[in-house]
Amino acid sequence: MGRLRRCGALCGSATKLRHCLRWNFGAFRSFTEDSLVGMRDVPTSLQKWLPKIASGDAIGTLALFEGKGNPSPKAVKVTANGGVLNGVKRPVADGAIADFAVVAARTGSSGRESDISLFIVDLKAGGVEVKSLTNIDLTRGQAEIAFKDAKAEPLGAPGEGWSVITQVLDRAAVLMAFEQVGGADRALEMGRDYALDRIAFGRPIGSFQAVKHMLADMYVSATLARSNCYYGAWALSTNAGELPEAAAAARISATQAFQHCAKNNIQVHGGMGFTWEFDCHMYYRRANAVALGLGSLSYWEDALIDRMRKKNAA
Amino acid sequence: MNFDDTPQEAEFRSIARKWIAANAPKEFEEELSKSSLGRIRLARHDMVEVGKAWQKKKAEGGWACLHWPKEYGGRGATPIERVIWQQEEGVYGKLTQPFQIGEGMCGPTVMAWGSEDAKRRFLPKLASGEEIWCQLFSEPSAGSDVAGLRTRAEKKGDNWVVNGQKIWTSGAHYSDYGLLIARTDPNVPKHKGLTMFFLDMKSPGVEVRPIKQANGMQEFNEVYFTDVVIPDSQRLGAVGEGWSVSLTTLMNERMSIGARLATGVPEMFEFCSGLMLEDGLAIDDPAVRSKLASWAVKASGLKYTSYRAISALSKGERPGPENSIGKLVSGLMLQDIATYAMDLEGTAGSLTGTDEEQANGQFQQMLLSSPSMRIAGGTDEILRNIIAERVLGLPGDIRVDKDVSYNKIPTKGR
Amino acid sequence: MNFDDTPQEAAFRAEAKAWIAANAPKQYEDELRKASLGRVALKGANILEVAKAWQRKKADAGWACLHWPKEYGGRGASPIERVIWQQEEGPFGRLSSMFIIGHGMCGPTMMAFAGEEQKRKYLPPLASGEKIWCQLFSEPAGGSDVAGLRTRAEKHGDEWVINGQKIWTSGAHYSDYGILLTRTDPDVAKHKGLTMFFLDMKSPGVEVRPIKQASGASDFNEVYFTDVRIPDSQRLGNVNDGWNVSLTTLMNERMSIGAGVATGFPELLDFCNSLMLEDGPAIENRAVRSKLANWAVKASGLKYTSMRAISALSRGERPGPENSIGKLVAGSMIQDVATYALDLQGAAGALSGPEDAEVAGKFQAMLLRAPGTRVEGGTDEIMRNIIAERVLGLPGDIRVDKDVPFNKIPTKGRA
Ligand SMILES: Cc1cc2nc3c(=O)[nH]c(=O)nc-3n(C[C@H](O)[C@H](O)[C@H](O)COP(=O)(O)OP(=O)(O)OC[C@H]3O[C@@H](n4cnc5c(N)ncnc54)[C@H](O)[C@@H]3O)c2cc1C
Ligand SMILES: Cc1cc2nc3c(=O)[nH]c(=O)nc-3n(C[C@H](O)[C@H](O)[C@H](O)COP(=O)(O)OP(=O)(O)OC[C@H]3O[C@@H](n4cnc5c(N)ncnc54)[C@H](O)[C@@H]3O)c2cc1C
Repeated sequence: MGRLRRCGALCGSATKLRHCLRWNFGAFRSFTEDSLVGMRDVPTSLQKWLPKIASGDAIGTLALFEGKGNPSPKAVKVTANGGVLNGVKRPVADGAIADFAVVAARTGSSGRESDISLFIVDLKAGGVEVKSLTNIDLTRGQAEIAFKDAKAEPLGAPGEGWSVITQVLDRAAVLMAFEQVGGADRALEMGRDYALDRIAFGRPIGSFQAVKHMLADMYVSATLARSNCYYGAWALSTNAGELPEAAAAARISATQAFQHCAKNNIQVHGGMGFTWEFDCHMYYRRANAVALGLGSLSYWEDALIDRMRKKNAA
Repeated sequence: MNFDDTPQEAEFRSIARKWIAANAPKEFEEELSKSSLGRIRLARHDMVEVGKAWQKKKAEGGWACLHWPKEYGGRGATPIERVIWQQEEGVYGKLTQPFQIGEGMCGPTVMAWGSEDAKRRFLPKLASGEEIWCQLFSEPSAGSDVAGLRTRAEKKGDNWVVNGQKIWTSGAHYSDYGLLIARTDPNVPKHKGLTMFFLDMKSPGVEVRPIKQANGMQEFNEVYFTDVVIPDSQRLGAVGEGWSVSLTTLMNERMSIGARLATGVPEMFEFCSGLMLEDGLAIDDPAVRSKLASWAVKASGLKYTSYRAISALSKGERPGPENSIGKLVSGLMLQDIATYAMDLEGTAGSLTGTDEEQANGQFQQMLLSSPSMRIAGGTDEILRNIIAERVLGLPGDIRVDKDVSYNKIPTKGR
Repeated sequence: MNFDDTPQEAAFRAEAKAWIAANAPKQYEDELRKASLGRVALKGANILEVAKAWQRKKADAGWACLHWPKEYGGRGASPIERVIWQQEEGPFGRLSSMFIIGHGMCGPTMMAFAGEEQKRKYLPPLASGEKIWCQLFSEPAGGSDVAGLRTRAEKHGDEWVINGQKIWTSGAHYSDYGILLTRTDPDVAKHKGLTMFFLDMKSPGVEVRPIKQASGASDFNEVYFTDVRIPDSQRLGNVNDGWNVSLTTLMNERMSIGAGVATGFPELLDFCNSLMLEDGPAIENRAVRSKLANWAVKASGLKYTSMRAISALSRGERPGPENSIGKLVAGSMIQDVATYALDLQGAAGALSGPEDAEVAGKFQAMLLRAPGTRVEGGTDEIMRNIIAERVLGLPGDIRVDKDVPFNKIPTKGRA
């Protein structure tokens, strides 16, 4: 219950603070709080970072992706050999402002998940080159990080990287879904307010059914998403076996709701919605960027059915 | 409607093709073919300049506004010939973007309501691209409800003095002339107190301030009028008849917007044909195919709907409100296509820069620009009203502002 | 909201489970499990009788209308306990479909507006399924716009005399009682001249004529009233206050319809799990998965939304209009689900074998019944209006009939 309330609050504050929360921060926190605590050796290098993350003195990020595509062990090409990393990660959320990164790297070539291990890299140290990338969301940076013999310390047991990543993605999916629901709600609220204030043909545009029904449908998708998120939060906070399925459902539902609300919020605003000055486009940009950040909708759709099927079979 | 060329049409097509082969600015072909909605830019050249040069060349060869009468700068061509030209012009047609409002809306309005002198003076230069025109209709409080506009025009002797503000005026920053609708009588119901003018955008008192758009570009503007003087000879139609005049413009808008409508489908098809997903080509994936197929039939449906309209036109019928479907269908579709293309690109799909971009960043730009398609030139909701009311004959919305004097209409919702 | 049972809840669940295991009509379990929207039928048994027997058994043991007070035939259970019961009752819950209107709408209206004696007399047999109730609101000229109804009730001494016609009355043909909304004053604005009653469906002058639905079945009826007499004691609420009384009914309708709303998703998932397409199991096809995933999150979204409502209820809050979303989402979803299931069968060309025909029959029934879901109890459009106006606070439609006397409102769209 308490945790649920926290999630609800997170959702509300994400709304009000215009989503200043960073997904990777959220992801990383859950990663450190939950996953790592269960790991056998917490390396000293991580112990060094934990208090700094908690106090806000350090920003951590997760360097997983390497260009086009979705989360997959096959896509990991960065290699780890003799304590150094080589290769390029992109996009890395907040990579340009992060102090350290948890990096998924290849330590084997069997073609299995166990080829992937995790490492911690101090991004301010040598052998690391960080370049900012532009992306549709102007309020959240993405970067490319190139490792050239960059010193790295192992995080967790070798070969267990991918199973940790899978859990982290599920956890991050739930947390991020709350941000998405917050964004969807805010976009809905903006649209509603504008519809009440804007006059056309001598009446508030919110009195036209075309507009009313558009807003009602936005409400419906935001509500479904919120409910799925609560379930996800419950699964997350109780470490329930349903988490993989609940996380995927929360992710899909919230992605759709945010995209839907952000896009129709512009529509309700008419020409004003297409100006830079109105905030509508920020939500539109964020909705579409965040939809890809942890893997695309298609990826999660596939994952959800896979997981439901596995549960059914079990 | 016939999908084969008649012998005359085939003849016309081959002349057009030859002329284009000999005259088109080939150096831009590659760049133009890669550009799509929200992304018509040339790396090292000014798009408007290149467009003007091409338009001028076309005009000299008799290929500009070819459906217009010869005396006004056209070729006197048939509607079908115009379509054949557009097909042959292909990617170079994208260069005509700055002229579309002039050709499609301002020109026809001047043609219908201007004096013979005005037509001979202004239309040929409009056709040849030497003078660019813009449309000054929308205002902050009057977009869908354009008849709610407030810009005032007051008669002083033989002139009109204009004060007020327009907004979202596409291309005002590079336009030479503008078509302006203003309120000449605020004491009568709102549709009855409007008058149409055209004016020199360099007139004293006209101030153009670019607006940054949601997609980061600056293609539309605010235009302020402070004691701008317009001679009465530049009035189009009678005083108080501006609404009827504007309907000519808006009906033509619908036609011209419908003509070269971007749907995003060809780009998407090409993209999926080349994209490798984890387990094969995107185009071989059943989920991708299912989406592509539903978009493909929408695009072909639109194409053949516009052919049907052209065929009606060539039989002398007037294009009806059914053309409203073009923008309604394609606006949403562009948005969906862009979203899905980015989805297929996966986590890197949100990147936009030049070196890290995916498929040249075209879908990211499409995503950011597509919302405007659903708003500009009549919102989706207004287009649905038009279809329901004018095509299907359903009753209009209940109007609370109809017989009310303009200055008695509420201006605030809450 | 918590998705885990508390110890008390777990105890309640165990008790319910044990009772159901011992008492449910297991011989029908299989058939009921396979039934879905538009297709609850039992081979070789009269579903009405089976349902009445089950309801009776439940009532005897205190499991009928369990959230109602004990003195009216319930158990005085909490909202959460009711949900737990529904979860445990599972496929046997499908046997309650003919009681839903009575339990969900008529009962609560009686509870709110009838006299104490009447409540004690009528509610227990309603709860136990001995007596079935129907809802006589809609008329040919008053569906969405139910306040536009014309059935007249005129006072004669201590009685009211009813003349007029109702339509789309679900279950009128097997109902014992009905709640009836009538016009008692046609000279005032339409919402102000209505009065609510309940009546015995066997009263002289009541004639029930079944209507064949688009799906081929006949679940609803036209009901004609010719000089039907109702004692004034069977009036619910004040004269001309029928509109307010009906709002109680309709709000409860939304809740009860929303609760176990059918989405078609479990059926489709099952189907895809077993269907072979040309190049493998349907469930492995990415196009199928993508659709399934979209529906899965809608179905789960609805489920958790109703759990949130129940959780609000258990905190003593009133369920709000946000519950309108259940039927709105499920109605078009079930239509899409059914269409897609047929599409998949077409692709596989698997309509022949007895097994497949069975499945095919199910989705076809669903397809044909689904349009009704989008209309009954408030159309999709009315639901969107409710959400827009009551949840989001947008202005109501511009009304041309608001302050006009009822008999001055136009009755034809075109001359
Ligand atoms: C890229 C771009 C270029 C443009 N270029 C030009 C130009 O060159 N010249 C020019 O004059 N204008 C131009 N416009 C303005 C454009 O025509 C208006 O933005 C458009 O007509 C909508 O008006 P609005 O912005 O005031 O929105 P509003 O009319 O305020 O609409 C807001 C919302 O209310 C809805 N709505 C309004 N009325 C109704 C109704 N009766 N029924 C149902 N729903 C309704 C709309 O659909 C919309 O969703 C441009 C706009 C854009 C975005
Ligand atoms: C299977 C089934 C069972 C039913 N059972 C019962 C029952 O037991 N008892 C009972 O009393 N009734 C019952 N009904 C009737 C049901 O409540 C009505 O059919 C429903 O309220 C719609 O009314 P209508 O059919 O008159 O349609 P109309 O109200 O005529 O609606 C026609 C169309 O117009 C639209 N529309 C109407 N008003 C508006 C508006 N203001 N804004 C936008 N759109 C609008 C509607 O959405 C719909 O699309 C049942 C109906 C069905 C299908």
